Amino acid sequence: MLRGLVLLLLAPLLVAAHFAPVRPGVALRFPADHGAHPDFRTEWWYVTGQLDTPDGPKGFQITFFRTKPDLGPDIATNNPSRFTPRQVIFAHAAIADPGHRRLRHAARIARQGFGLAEARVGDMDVTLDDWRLWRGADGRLHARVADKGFALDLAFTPTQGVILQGEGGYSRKGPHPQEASHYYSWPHLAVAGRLNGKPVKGTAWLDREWSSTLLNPGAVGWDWLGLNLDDGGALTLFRVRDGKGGALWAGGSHRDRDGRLTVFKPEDIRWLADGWWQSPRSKARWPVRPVVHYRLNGRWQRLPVTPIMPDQELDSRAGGGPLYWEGAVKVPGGRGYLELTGYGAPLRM
Amino acid sequence: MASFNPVATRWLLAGEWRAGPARLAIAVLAIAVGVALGFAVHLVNTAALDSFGRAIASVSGRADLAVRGRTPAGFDELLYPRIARLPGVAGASPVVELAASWGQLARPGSKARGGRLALIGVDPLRAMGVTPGLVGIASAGQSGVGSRPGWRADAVFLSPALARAAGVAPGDGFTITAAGQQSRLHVAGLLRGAGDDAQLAVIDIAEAQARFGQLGRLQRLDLRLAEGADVAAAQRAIAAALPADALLSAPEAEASRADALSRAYRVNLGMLALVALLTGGFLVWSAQALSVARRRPQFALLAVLGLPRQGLVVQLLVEALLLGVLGAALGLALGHVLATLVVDHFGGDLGGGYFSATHARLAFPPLVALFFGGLGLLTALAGSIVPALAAARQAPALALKGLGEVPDPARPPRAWPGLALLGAGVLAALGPPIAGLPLLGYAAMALLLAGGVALMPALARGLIRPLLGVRAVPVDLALRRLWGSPQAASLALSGIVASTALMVAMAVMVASFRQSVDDWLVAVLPADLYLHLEAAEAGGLQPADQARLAAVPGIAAIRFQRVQPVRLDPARPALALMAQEGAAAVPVLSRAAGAPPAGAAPVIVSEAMAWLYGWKVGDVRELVIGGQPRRLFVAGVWRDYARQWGAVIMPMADYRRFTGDASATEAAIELAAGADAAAVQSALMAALPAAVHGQAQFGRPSDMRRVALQIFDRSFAVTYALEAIAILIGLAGVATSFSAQVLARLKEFGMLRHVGLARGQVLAMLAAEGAGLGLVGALTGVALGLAMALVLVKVVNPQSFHWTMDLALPWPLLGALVAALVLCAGGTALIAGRRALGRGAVLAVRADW
Repeated sequence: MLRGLVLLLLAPLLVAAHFAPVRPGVALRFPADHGAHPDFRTEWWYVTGQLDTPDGPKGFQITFFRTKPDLGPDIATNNPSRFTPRQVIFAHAAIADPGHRRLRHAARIARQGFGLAEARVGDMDVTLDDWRLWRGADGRLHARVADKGFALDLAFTPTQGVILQGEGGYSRKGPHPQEASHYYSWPHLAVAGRLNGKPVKGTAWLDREWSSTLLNPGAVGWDWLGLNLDDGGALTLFRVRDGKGGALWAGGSHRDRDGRLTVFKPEDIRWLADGWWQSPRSKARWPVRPVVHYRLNGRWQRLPVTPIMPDQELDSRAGGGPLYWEGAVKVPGGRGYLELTGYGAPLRM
Repeated sequence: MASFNPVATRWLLAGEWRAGPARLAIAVLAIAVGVALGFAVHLVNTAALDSFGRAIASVSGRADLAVRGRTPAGFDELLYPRIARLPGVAGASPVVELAASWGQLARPGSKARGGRLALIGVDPLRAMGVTPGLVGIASAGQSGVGSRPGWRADAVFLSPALARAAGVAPGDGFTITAAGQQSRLHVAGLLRGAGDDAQLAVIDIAEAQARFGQLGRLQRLDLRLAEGADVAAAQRAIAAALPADALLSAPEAEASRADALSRAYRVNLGMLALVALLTGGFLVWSAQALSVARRRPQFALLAVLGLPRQGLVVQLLVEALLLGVLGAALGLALGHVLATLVVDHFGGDLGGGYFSATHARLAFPPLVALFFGGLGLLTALAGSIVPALAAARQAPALALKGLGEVPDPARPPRAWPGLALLGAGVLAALGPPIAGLPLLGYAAMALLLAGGVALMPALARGLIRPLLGVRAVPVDLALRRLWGSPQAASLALSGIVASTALMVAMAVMVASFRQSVDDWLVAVLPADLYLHLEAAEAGGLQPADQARLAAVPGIAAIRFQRVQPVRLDPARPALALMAQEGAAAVPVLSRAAGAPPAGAAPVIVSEAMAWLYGWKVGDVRELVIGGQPRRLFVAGVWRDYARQWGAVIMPMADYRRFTGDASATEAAIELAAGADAAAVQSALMAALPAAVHGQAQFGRPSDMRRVALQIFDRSFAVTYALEAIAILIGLAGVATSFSAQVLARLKEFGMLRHVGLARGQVLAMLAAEGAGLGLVGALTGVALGLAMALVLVKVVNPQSFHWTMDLALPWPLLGALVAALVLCAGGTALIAGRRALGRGAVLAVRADW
């Protein structure tokens, strides 16, 4: 969800006038909004899910980012070179295999261009060298991603419609109205395909978000949870944390099996960090077993979260990215992905 | 070693040292100088080559494989995605690479600061995975890729060596000129991985394309192959996908290209050092033979006391070993000191001009030291083995009485071994190069030298025979002595013959080369004024600039030239493609008879081109120009001393038609009658675009000739030094062997005095003998030297550098050399004689038989 921070590390925080602003009341249209929005500063296609294999469940995540570097108007418009970095495409993928006890992951980054790195406008088709995520003519989504140690070739068949997060896809991320993104999710995608050449099945979740102005300057990190519930419902919860461990903002939604959508306000969510696990590599401590509470139809629900393995830390600092924890989790009556950031060193922006 | 007796050795050596410390010292020194030269040349070469290799590796970023443009124009950038998608290619990093400069490139005599550099444009996101060394780290400590302070269009990252040379630090401005464009950049940080050898600046690839006129073009694609990929298959697939103006280049080819650049020059220096060592060997032989002759009674005494003959040989060889060890150790120390001095004062290329921008570092490689030291030892042993065997053969009883085996004057000395060696030398000189090097040519020189020395006794007799019968008693005595014992003469002379021959050979070769270069300079510089843009391989003067220059008043004619390197073979340095307006002003050696066939552009190729690529007059060949192979008709071959790796001159019109490149990098200007050259030059400078002011170098033929010959002389400075050392050693050898022989002949002088010769007459006899010996040695040495010079000029040089030269004989130098040798030999004999006769020669006769 808030993977935009990765890109905020790659671009200055100052709001530049030449990025498209996020405004409420802009209706999302499909399939155009499956495609890229190159006028916004940053954008991502984020697929997470769990695969059922003979060795038990395995988690996976595939993320493509697009960012428009803050070049300043002189370069972006005046330099006719095909190499001018008008857009940068960045991707990473990880497999959570409890048998391996830690993540296998890989990343790609390149300037958009030459057909090697492209994010199509009009429909979903993001390419980065040999990695690709696209929507086929049959309406299914496809992902092909491989690197040393893993190979994913998956097709995602929608079983439900998309969830427009926030106010019809306008999702607040902070106390100021411009701290927001355009945000939709696509839960309960039926997965079929191959992991390392072996056929697998499972369920997945797509998060799509684009924005030019996202986070409050006081934010040090965030927590995010997306769950496919066994009864066909979908639960999204997130909070943006301040330096004192409190929430600057919180939000999310619940959609039941029949399609009734409840959008949460900040006061509808309580997130208790718990189940601390310390990474032997980074020495960072992560609350990998949080207990989340949300108020649905006036009643508070309590949901203890359990990761399929504690070590799902991903350190991309060597490549200029952040240190974060992103892993497959279970809850009573559902499963999905949990993302934690800003727990190691506070995220500097 | 049962026959080895340390007491005897100590006794013999100590006696020898007391008898003639100078002779032993000269022998040691001769070995030392040979070893020192060989070792020093090797050290300096290795250091220079290493540093050059490191610089190349820095600029090329140590990729697995690279696709390179054949010319600085590069290739279409759309090749990049095609190559990147090939199976087996895990990473492809597009690169813009331009010859560039900063500041004011130094003109001869000016103190302006400036220099050449390689300007590299990379996409850091791609380079990170292929050539991380080319990714700059901003001084803020973050990656230069879109990180804070964000994209800076004018950010440049410098290699530490360049930052130091230019005196700039992160945060400073830095102006770079390339391809006729000038750009003010901002130093964002240093390339920590670039080391101390490369003059290298890295900017963003999009900026490199836009700022320096390279839109749509790349010069290089750095590639990383997938782990476990079939390298040969991947290379084949890549090569198959390449257009005509790109070629695939593996790092080995790059290394071999760097090596080839100076290989012949280095091998030549190394060979000269070995020849010096060979001269040292002859000096050792001469010294040992003399000392053996002098110590015959000692050896006889030892034999009588029970030392077996074999033991005597061992004793003498141990002596030689000690001399050799001493000489080798001294030589290694001397060589290291010499190499340090050379690197500090001349730079790593010994003045050869091959590695201009690099800073060499010296090491002390033990294996190499062992090799050269061993060579010195071997020389000492080889020089001693013949005299040692001779000493062991003699009959002790006779020798004890001082009647060692005296050769019978009636029996003529054998000539066939010397003749055989000379014949072998001639045969070797006719041989082809081996591995591109004139190794057989050097073998020929060594054989000629050995043959000449072996022929000495017979030759001396032949030279003296016509002089027999001179009426003056002292001269007659001297001549008869020389005629009667030519072996003794050749012993004394072998060292001087060898060093004279070496010196004459080098002097004649250098004189021929210099004369040919001088003639060539006159031929290639017919205009009044020349303009050259340095570091402008990627382009310089545009048509508008050319028109502006042509309109400068005072010019009768201006002819532009576009010079561009072209790679034909990835393992060889690029050849020069020179597009010229008007008729080529070069010394043409041969011309094609017919007219060019239809569709082929007429070109004139240099001797090196003809030699390296087999382009013959009348051939039609293909060369990739402007992205396509073009048919070229070889209309002539010209002599070129400036471009060792080949040059092709073609008409400017054809070049422009092929490439669409209308730029020029050089101009030859003829002044109108009465025009002032200096005024025209400043008017031309003012008419030049500001961007290339720092690269523009004007020259007048006389100055250019002077500078060129200065450079020539500087690059042969090492050779001159080598010659001087060889001749000094040779003279010292003559002096010591003469005094030894004179001392050995004390009894003879006493006898002559007894039969009534005046002291002055004996001295005159000695002087005449010395002068005669000197003359024989000098003439033989000169003759031998001329033969060796012929090998150097006609075999070694063409095979090393692929150019020919006309033989020129420096007669005054040769005459002076002969005179100096005669005088020196006669004078030495005289001085030795005076000393000997002063000590009561008459008494010597009384010595007990």
